Amino acid sequence: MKTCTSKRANIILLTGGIILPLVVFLISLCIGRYPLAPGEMLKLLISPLTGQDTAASSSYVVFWLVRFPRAVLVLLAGGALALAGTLYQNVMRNPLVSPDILGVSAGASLGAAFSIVVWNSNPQGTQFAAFSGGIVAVFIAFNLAKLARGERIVGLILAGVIISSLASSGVTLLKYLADPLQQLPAIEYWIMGGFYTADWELVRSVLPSLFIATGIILSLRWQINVLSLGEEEALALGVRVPLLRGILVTAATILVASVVSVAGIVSWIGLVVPHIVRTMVGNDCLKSIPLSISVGGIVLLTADTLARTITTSELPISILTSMVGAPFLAYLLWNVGKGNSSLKKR
Amino acid sequence: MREKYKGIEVNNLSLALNNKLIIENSSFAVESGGLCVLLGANGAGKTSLLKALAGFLQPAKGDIRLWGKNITSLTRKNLAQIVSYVPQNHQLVYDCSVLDFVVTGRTPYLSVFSTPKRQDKILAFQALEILGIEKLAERSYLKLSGGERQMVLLARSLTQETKIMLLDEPTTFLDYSNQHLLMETLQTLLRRKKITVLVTLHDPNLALEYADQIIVIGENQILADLNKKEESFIIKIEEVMQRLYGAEVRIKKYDDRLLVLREREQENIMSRVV
Repeated sequence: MKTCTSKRANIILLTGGIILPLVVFLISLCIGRYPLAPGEMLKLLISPLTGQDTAASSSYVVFWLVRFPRAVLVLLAGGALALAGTLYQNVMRNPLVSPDILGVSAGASLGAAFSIVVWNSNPQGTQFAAFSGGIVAVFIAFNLAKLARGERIVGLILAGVIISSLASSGVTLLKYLADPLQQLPAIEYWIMGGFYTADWELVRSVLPSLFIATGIILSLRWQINVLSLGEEEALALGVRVPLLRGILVTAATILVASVVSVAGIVSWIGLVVPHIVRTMVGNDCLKSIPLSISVGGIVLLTADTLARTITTSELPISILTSMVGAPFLAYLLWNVGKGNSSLKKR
Repeated sequence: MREKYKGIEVNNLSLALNNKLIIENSSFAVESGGLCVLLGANGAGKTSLLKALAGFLQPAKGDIRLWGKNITSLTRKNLAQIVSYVPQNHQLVYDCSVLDFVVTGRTPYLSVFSTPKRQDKILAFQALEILGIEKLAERSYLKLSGGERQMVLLARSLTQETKIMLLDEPTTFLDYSNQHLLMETLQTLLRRKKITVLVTLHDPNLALEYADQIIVIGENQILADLNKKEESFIIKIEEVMQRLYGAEVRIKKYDDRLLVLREREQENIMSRVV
């Protein structure tokens, strides 16, 4: 019986983890304002290998300079957000925690708004300011939480709420001060988020940080499992809890800050995808942590493909993720009553 | 060489919780291969003392030596290889199978970046077998009863293969026969493996039946530290029990075993009923 369940888990991991993202990726490459037939898409995909000179054609430009980097960026972003979400829900021992619980999104918004209003900066400047804002916000929240003796997790969540609300009021202040014709819309669009600016440059700018942070989290996944048993339990099992928690929060913050700095605030992915993953393979971090990367990528790529195709002009992606995420959470709540939801405690 | 060390040595220990002193300047030692029962009223500081020994609670004063080593000189991981801690009850937020839970006991032997191997799972299963609960292996942890959960927690502690086991009221949710099964298992284990067990109990009869040593705490200090083999043990323990549980408590001898009973004062009870 045991081998049977583990075989089933392996099938889920293989299809959900590798095959499905690949399929969604390829489909997404075909769909858009400039539709590509699957055959044409595949031809374009292997064109660098065959050396066929198609660089001049418009389909080549659409495919290699617009759609492909965008799909890659979205996959990375979805994976990063979902991974951070799964991590936080385990580290904080709370299934309703999202990865911006420590104020990373609010801090990044403040950084972005600041750079737009005060420095009138270019997109690269805004990206950098947002990334730094997110990191600084979490750093402050993490240290603020030390004031709460005893229950560390409650302290962390409260500190996150405090820092988030301070940063939001800062954003509002900057909006009030902003030039209403240029800067105010820039702030609003930035916060709404989206991947319409995606290009290879953007992919390259986030790839190293995402890669390193993901590597750290993946290699510590057993320790995360033990940490999710509770602080005293983990201590009793020889885990250096404060150090481990510090490393994990840092890695998760780098993930989310990187994504937010290129795509604005993409809501719900980090909260909902961990639940989807838990219904698939259970709570074991050895499986749920790697799988959440793939599922996050699939969900966000689907949402982004819809965002850029269902209307003639592009929809902000958070509208779609919220429209799907909120009802999904309601469905989970409904299931709590039936006793089989991943939300269920005890 | 090893035998000359005590399993647990506590010198001039003071413990404080929220700036309130709960244990003051207390010293005691537990032999390796000994089962020591910690008795005390609710709130006397039994759990805090266990937590200090497990290294969760920093002593305000004094030092603790486990198997000859000062716990402040040990890394978290080394400490977890020497001492295991079984909490009174434990709640999980995310469910997992019993076997997966028991395997976490192998964590002190894994490097930070690795995951449990087949061998670790085998050890975990063997621990379940020792306690006769291998049928629970595939069950969901959150659906266990309180008693089953205590047995599973003990199994994890066995999987941790430590020289010292600290158990916080491990019999609370167990039925009568499982209470004795647990205590007998502990006794067999420590006779065979020369480990040291410190366990807090509320049932004085269990303590008298299985303990080699009984430590009683109360009024912020150690009220008694008695060895079962010492002279006039019965008189001394009766005195302590009376102090702890009231003047009506008597120790009776039944065959070669000791029982704690409460002397009934017939008239009093009758007058209360009427």
